[in-house]
Amino acid sequence: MKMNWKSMALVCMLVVMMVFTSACGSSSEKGGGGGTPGGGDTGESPDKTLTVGTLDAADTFDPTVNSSSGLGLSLVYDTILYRDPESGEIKSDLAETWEFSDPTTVVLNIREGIKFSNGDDLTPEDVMFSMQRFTTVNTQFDPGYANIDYDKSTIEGNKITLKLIEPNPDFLLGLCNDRWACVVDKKYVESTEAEAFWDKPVGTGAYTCVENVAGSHATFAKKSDYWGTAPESETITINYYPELTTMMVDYENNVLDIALDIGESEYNNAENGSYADTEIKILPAYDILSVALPQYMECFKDIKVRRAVAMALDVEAINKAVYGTLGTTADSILIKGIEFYKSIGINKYDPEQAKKLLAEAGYSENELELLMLFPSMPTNDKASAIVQAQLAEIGIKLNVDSGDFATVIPRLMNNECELAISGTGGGTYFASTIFSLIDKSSTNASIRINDDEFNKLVEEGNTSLDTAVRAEAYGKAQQWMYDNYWNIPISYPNTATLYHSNVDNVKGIAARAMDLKFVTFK
Amino acid sequence: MSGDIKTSDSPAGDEPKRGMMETERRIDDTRRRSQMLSIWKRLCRNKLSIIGMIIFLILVLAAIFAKQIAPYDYSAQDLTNALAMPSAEHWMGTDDFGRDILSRVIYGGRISLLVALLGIIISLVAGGLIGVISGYYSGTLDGILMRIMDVIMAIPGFLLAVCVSAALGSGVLNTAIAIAIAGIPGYARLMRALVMSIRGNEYVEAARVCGQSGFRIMIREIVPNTLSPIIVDTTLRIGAYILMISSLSFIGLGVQPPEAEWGSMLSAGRQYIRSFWPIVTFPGLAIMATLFGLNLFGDGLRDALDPRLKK
Amino acid sequence: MLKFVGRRVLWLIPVMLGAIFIVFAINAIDPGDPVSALLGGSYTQEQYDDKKIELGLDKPFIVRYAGYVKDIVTDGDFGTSYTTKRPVSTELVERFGVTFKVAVISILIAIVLGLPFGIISAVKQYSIADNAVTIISLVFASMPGFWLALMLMLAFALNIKIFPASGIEGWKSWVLPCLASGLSFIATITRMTRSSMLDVVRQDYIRTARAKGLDERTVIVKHGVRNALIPIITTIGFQFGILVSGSVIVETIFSLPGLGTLMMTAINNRDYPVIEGCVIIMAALICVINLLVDLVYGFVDPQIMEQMKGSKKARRARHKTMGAHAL
Repeated sequence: MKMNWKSMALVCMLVVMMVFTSACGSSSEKGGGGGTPGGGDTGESPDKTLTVGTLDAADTFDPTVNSSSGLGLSLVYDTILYRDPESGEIKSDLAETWEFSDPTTVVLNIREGIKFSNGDDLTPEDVMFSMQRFTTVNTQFDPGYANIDYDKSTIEGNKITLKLIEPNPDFLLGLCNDRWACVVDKKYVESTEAEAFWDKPVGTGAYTCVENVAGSHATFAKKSDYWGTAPESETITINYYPELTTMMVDYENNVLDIALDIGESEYNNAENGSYADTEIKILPAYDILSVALPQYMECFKDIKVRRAVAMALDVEAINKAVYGTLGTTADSILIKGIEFYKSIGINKYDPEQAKKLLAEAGYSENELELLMLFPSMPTNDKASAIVQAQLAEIGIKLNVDSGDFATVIPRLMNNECELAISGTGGGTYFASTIFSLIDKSSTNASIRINDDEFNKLVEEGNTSLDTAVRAEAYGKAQQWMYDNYWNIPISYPNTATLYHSNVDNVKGIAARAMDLKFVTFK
Repeated sequence: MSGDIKTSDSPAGDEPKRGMMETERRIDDTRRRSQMLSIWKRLCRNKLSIIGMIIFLILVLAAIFAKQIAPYDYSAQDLTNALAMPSAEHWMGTDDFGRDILSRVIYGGRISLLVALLGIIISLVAGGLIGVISGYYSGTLDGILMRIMDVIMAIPGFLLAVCVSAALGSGVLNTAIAIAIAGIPGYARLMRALVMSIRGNEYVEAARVCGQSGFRIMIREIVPNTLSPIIVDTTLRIGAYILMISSLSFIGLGVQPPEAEWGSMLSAGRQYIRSFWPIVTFPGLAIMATLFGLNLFGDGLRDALDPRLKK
Repeated sequence: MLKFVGRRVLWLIPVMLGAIFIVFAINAIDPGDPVSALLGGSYTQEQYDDKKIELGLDKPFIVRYAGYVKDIVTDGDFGTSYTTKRPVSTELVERFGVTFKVAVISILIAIVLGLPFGIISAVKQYSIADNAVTIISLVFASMPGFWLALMLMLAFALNIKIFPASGIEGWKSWVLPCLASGLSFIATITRMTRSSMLDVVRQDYIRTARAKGLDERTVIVKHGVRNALIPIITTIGFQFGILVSGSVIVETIFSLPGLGTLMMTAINNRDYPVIEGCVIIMAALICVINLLVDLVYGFVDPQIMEQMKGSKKARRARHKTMGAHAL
């Protein structure tokens, strides 16, 4: 009868739905040192679990591919050398000794007796293999390993002799990089598919990866037989959040011990005491926001015009508006805090003088019209709006156009941009890297500087092994830029990281390169 | 919509037939007009739908007279006064660039309406054409076109809009196209059904016998007869389109700053949600009020058209 | 009967092929460039060309489309993500459960909450309660999903700390996302229940029941609910589509690892294989659910089954009356 059919069918449907619901549930769940919110849980876990929140996304453990969260890399792998976050000194890691025997030869002695997490022995072949992968397997990053002549480099016992094609005094510092200097197991990588890199990486690091759940979290367990100093946390969980507010809510509820790189608005909240039991760590982002004048633009060949543009920009105001309390006004094209940075001077702001110069150069009011094109990002969006207003004050009409990365980059490669705004993207620790974005080898035409004088100074700084010589050359290059107005530095952004007072030793060179294995519990 | 006689190309001997056609058409017109009147009366009796109409009217007026009503320009920045709480000068406060939120909400209404209307026009023209061709010519052409419509409908509307919007980029026209594509099958089917029902009418047959071109018949008969169902459908769509526009802008597609759009305003304000509530409240309320009014109006319209449905 | 089911299942194939074609076409006209996105800010022409060949983007459209379809059909291979280099099928399987679960629970919540409200509304027709319910449900139907999600999170995860703001740990984390998704559907269900109930009240068999002396209220409720469930079941198919596509936003706000967040990341990176995979899976899921709904509907009311078997037009007419909300 109708009634029976109906009820039966409905019941069946409901049952099917219930079954699907429970069966399809994800097996792994977000870990946390205090899963239930509220309560008096201060995050202290008897089994020493560290939970960290980041706005990055879960990513593979393949150093040549990983472009998002590198936190896990430093837990699972060791790097060739290690850079002390406080003193900046190079210290030993997998390499026991290291030196430049001549400007193009680097000699490393790799430690003996270290094992990978799957039992394989660490050999110098693994080190060489890890570096070479950046030139053969996936080539989107260039950590300087393309500069190695692999044919001429040799391995003898546990000694590696690397022959560099061009001299690079920062090469050793590059071997400290928490992402790109990770050493992978050659035997393992060659015998497994690329997929294994997702959640089954094999490294010599202090932790093994227990699970890596895309869009959610990654868990790491301490190795019992780590060759180095044993870390304190038994388990480390990294939670990946697509949404800042959600991360802050979890931090407030003590689900997180550490919240990385929280941005300016939350930093202000923390400073005002919105978060109980919290310490704040400010670290430079190793990024620089600057306005660049493309050398292919006719109008900019006249130094008066360039100077006018520079003098129209009130960089202090821009810095304050874009980064607020988390930004430092820039006074050089090198980032404050890196080696060879020299304080040259903050860009002079004089709109009246700027108007005069523009008139002298032969431009009447609103005659000069420029297009500013960039990938859309909150910092770029804000800064460009202010620059637009400031240039309007002196009679230059600036049109602003942005879009997402994939749409804008091809246009930029087409020289469509007439006034550029750019950052390095963060994590640029070396003068040579920063200069490589600007000098004649730069692939970005809107920022590239072709002047011989500038390039000569940069080259000298890049290749000499003598620190004094480098300092002088780089210093002159920075001064040159200040005097020639091709690139106007605006801000050095900083990052703020919050952590509850139950943890200590939260340190790292940068927020997203935090050395989680050194975190201790109080 | 008229009963005026237009001179045709057919020979003089068809005068009487044409006269009959005209009378029939005039009768239809009158019937239609009195129908519309009774619909209107029923609509006005429903208090809720009147409220809806008023809200919608406010939206349209605010959109048209945005420049006159808004106290500030929507892109005027004042960085020294960013994130200010509501005050006498800024009734809804200022956003993180120091722009007046009230002005941006008002202009946001204009943009939403503009894009929605553009989207409806595109949907209607494209969908309508497909539906008319499909319904009138029938046969294999009809089959193919309707299959294509089915395929488009298989992809969830918002998802399709997201893909198209991502491909085209942000902006008023691009967003309109993105949301229009998902709506085409709806209009196509509607027009098709209407055309097929009209096709059977006697005077259409008669007109064809007289030698009038199919195209002319379509225009003359179809347009007036489909007006009211389309108006109803459209009213129900505006709200859905506005919601889609806001959703697209919220996730970074759609319409982005410095244009004022409610969805992108909410998205930009997300990070301030705990310390500065105005920026995530007012645009949201605006969307809600708009949709609420449109829903009331749409419901009232539906009830007025077929009182049987309500009871 | 079997022929009907068979026909419907077969029909899925051209629909899916067409859907894949549409998504492929959209990606092809996209001026955004995955090659540039992958290579980073600046690159040489040589690097660009190499990368393009590596991704297989140098081949013409039809060749890529045909190859793609073949891979799916023969191996279940949806390609490899440009950014993570993992097989897309792995990522889809990982994320599928979350999205599906949210959709199903949202629908259940909507039914469980919507039915009683609709009943109250109908039983106390034109009273204050009725108007209140109508207005409240309309208010919820007018709230943009993302706004509602933000407000819910603020209220219940931040201020009154009952529910967690993120993740999928324990049953509590599902409450807020599912509420945010399902709340607007509640309005629809309330309204449908109400009108179905009102229909029932006028039926003859109610009068008979009254004459027989049965408890009027129970009879009305039993029959009214049964009657209401039919249109409700019909809209479940539509609503599922809306929910799944709305999951893109809800998942982002609540940090749920579902298909929605996967798709958003992929769109930002122009990770075509992942975008295509997500859309295909979602479309397939919705088609299947619609099919199931139609089947259940047919079981429940054999008259409708006849109608469905006979004329697709009738089905389309039914769909049309459900309103333009189902875009």
